[in-house]
Amino acid sequence: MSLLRMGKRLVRSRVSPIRFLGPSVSLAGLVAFGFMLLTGRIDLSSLDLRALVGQTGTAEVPGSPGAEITPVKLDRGSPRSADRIRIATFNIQKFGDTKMRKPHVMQTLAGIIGSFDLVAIQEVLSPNAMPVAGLVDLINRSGGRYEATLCEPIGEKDNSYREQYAFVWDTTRMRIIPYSSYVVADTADRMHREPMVTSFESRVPVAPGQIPFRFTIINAHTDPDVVSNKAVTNEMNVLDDVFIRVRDYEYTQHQEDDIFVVGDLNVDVQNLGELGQIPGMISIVGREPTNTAGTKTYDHILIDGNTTKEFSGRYGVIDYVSDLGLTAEQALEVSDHRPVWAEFSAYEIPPVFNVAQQSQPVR
Amino acid sequence: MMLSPHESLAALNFELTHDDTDRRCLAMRKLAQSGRKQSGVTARVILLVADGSEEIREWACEALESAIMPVPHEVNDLIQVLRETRDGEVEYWTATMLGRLGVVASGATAVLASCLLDSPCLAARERAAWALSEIGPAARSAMNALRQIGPEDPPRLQRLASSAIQSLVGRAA
Repeated sequence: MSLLRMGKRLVRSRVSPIRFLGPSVSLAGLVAFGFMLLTGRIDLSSLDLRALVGQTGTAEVPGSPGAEITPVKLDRGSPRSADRIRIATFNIQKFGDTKMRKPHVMQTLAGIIGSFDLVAIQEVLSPNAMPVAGLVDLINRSGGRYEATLCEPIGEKDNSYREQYAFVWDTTRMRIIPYSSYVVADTADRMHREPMVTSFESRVPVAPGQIPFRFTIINAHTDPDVVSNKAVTNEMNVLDDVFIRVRDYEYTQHQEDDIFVVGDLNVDVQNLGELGQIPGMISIVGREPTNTAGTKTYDHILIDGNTTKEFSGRYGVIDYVSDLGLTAEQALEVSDHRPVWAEFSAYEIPPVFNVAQQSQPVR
Repeated sequence: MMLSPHESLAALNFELTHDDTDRRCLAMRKLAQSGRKQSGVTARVILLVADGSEEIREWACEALESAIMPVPHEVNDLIQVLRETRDGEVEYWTATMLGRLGVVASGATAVLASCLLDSPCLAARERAAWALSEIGPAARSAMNALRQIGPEDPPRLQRLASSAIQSLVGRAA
């Protein structure tokens, strides 16, 4: 047990993470070693529904002219950058035992995941952890050294349909911050699927005087019926509170100011609600379609452009057909969402605060 | 030969109700993975949420979340499902679909109010409150039911009921 101080509240956090031992064991070994489910929680039940609107009171509008952010094609054949890391978010539709039993799908997934240093995954149906374990094992059989962590199944109470979040990362290039993982404790039941939060740090060697890039990721999957901008119970107007509280906590505890919100938010960039109105907040993917059909933007990597200067400006959305050579039907077997990724410096870059620039949209 | 939309819908209905589990599963999976919105089979898919096959249940939930778009002529079928079912998940998804229809589902006000008060499934009760909110002033006959949600009820249900009351009253003002 560990006690976490969160504002004026003391919350007990049961930290017994489920993790997969990585490259040195076989799948059978993974089963033999067993899993520890991450159930650490920080209680955010006292969330203030009002967004803390910044100085300007205006939203950072992604997609503005003169954008510094550049979409690029992922060159999966090239070696990983010596000074940059790639982080992705991927809703692997219904990633459970059924999908795990399809070798061609698993191979595609392994190839995708293995292209990134860290992937935040949504829609995992893996109470026994086997699908994610199988994926990690598949990547590592090809020479990777990946590990994973996932949370307990979460979702509506009294409803058997529950999902999990997972993180999969290359242990030669990333490390998970010990005891940093938790699922947001949503005792007031404001969200269908409360997000999972985890912190990571780059392990890419940095030059003398540089500090490895460390950040905290909020992995989210909203309820598509509860993200309407007309609704009082719009989950986008809860996620902003989650972001602010996580940011405040991480800064207080660890002086951490690089907080990402990633995942399937089921809204486009125009409907990010109060989350999108947080000063400096930008959606890296902007208006680019992220569903497999190429018609909607649901998935995002959101950062505070004022503080996360480590973002290189490069990002991508993987198209299964044009990038991986799959047919449309094969693509839908993998997922109805495309992986979305962004590139960051492997070392810390201090934020530069300029009052005149604070209201300038990055995109 | 391309099937007409009517023939396609009939074929889909046939597959979704087939005795063969594998055929039902295949049809359900294809529907969920189609990347398109499908109408005309809403009630059929909802009932598959209670199928004996876990895989079918999963695909049915996925389809209802992202691929099913109910249309007005399905309201009566949905009312009947909600009236007759005792399955909490079926109630949950039926209320969700009625909520998506909004004001055209006003004929479902009474069954939604019953679900709100009587369902043993909290998630279904919450969805019923939300659906009534989406219907708006046309659901004013549910006001008494909504006002019965009180401090002893879970916080989210209270919020949703309060939101529904505002919707039923506020939009009419």
